[in-house]
Amino acid sequence: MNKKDLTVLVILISAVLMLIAQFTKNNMLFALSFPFVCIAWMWLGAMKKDGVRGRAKVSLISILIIWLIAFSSMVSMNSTEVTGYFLGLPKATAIMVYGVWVASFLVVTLVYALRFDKDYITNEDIKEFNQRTGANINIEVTENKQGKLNM
Amino acid sequence: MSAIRVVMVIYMLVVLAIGYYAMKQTKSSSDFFIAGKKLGLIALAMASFSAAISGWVFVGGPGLYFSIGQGSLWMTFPTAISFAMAWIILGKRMRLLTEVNDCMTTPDAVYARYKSKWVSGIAAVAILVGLVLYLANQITAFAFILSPIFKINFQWAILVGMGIVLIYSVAGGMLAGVYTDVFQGTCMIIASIIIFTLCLVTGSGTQNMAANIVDALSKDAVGAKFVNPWGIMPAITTMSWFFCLSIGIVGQPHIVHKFYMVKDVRKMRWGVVLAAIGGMLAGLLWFGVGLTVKYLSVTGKLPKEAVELLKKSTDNTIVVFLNYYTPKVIAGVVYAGIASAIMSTADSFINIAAASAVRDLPFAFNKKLTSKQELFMGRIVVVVIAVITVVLALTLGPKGIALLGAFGWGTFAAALAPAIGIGFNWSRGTKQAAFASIVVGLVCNVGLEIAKVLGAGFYKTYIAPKGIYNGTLSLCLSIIVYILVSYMTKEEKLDRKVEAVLEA
Repeated sequence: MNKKDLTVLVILISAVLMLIAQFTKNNMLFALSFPFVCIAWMWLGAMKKDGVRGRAKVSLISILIIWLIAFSSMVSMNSTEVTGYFLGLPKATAIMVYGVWVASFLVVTLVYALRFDKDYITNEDIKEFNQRTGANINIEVTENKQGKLNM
Repeated sequence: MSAIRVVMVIYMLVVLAIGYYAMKQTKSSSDFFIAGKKLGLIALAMASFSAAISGWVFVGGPGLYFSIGQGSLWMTFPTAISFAMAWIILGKRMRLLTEVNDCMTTPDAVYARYKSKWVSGIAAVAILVGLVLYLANQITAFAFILSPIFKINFQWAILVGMGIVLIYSVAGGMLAGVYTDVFQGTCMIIASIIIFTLCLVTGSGTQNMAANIVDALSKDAVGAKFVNPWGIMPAITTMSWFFCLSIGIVGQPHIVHKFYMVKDVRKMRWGVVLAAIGGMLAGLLWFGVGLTVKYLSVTGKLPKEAVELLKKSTDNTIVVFLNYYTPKVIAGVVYAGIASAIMSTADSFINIAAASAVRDLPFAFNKKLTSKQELFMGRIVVVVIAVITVVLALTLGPKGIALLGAFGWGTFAAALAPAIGIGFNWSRGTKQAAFASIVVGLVCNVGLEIAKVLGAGFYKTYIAPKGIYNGTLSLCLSIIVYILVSYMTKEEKLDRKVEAVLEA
């Protein structure tokens, strides 16, 4: 079983757990299983022959941990009371807004853009793709354009 | 209201001018369906987020917040990460596929991956049915906005809305859609920032509004629930929304389709950040308007007319804020932003549905049209689809929105996400698995929605009481079916070039 097969297995097991959680109305099981489906799926997308590279790996593992903590905390908290406020929001809602919404953007979306040419598609990847397929993606031109974008 | 009308009319004229300009640029079916693979960074980002942020976000979103509270935001919060999911899982692979394969539509990609006309054909059917119904949903929402502003009845508003979308769709195809998306996306972003700021000023900050709502609602059972993460909904329901609306993006043909249009694979880099920021700002509008109008309502600060509007429909939440708490010119810009959200999504849908009808279905039956024939037939089919849409919208009226919405995001996610999202990243996936998962996802989601509407016994007993969201349940089943059937069927040797795409 290779790395991709293992990742797909994680998606399968997590999806089954989600199914069980839905029919047993188990909020905690759902909160602990759906992040695995999402992150394992992204892991599969980010994977190369040598696995997931550098900071992409850190980014995806980080958001998995953040989501597991955030969702399990929110499920555990009493939703019929407000015990205090954090940055203008009830504490549980602050976890939702800052811990899930904003953190997802910073830890995954922004990191994807910053690490795009190192972890997701490098010049070597394009050269290899050109060689394998006979495609003609112009590396020098794209490097120049990318240089402009980076400025 | 006159200032609002003037701004709206100017807006419509700008959109028509852009459509006319795009028509001059459209010379081939490639221009019509995939914008001639000319998209740069800004255009890709704007086109993706404009297509994803439909009228539901601006019209239905604040109304849903008013009804169920904070939990509604789990439907819009996925935008912070969902675009990254689409980019990471499919973006690069879809764009590289167009380098080695003449892909213009999602079923084209499905065929390239599985080499089965059965699979690409069923994908085309799912897309066509879903998009036409989803389009009717958008046009109905558009009429909901146009009708009170221009003081025309609902039926005329449907015809006017469809007419405007038709003109630039027929004229310029996807190129017109993309050009207008840049303009419309900008409108939406400006509208969201202005409105959220006005909300904070009107309600004296989020903490003041939340505290007042908790106090006012403490008399009944709702209490603090309204402003806590799940609102008045079961936790599992709102988490299900978050799941389906985030990872489900990889099954949305109107998003996946955009990756074919990128000029250069490297252009994808910052597009994801811009798209996510646009989506998050739209989420702020949802949050701000919903919270503020609820605060004004529970503290008795709303004028009588506004209370009456909300009694008619909570979807009037945005109308109440714009009409009573927003300067008229700004309200006009915001209404234009809302119209733009609806129109850009509708435009994407109409062009993709046309592509499915003139390319993918004939292909499944071994027919092939020339580029000129595709361009001509594409325009004819757009008109036919528009007529069907108008008939559907007129027949079902505003009450049909919920029914039509059932065929939206959740259906595409359940039907297409595993076959495309897993299939383009895992070589072990088979054509039998793809076919089975598309059928299971489609039938399950549509079937469950029909059972919900008809009040079927099994739905009332086993599904509804558990807070299950049909889209998430169907997507889970579809994922499981795809993986299990892949292992149960014989592994297929992939085409050398497709294998390179999967391993890039």
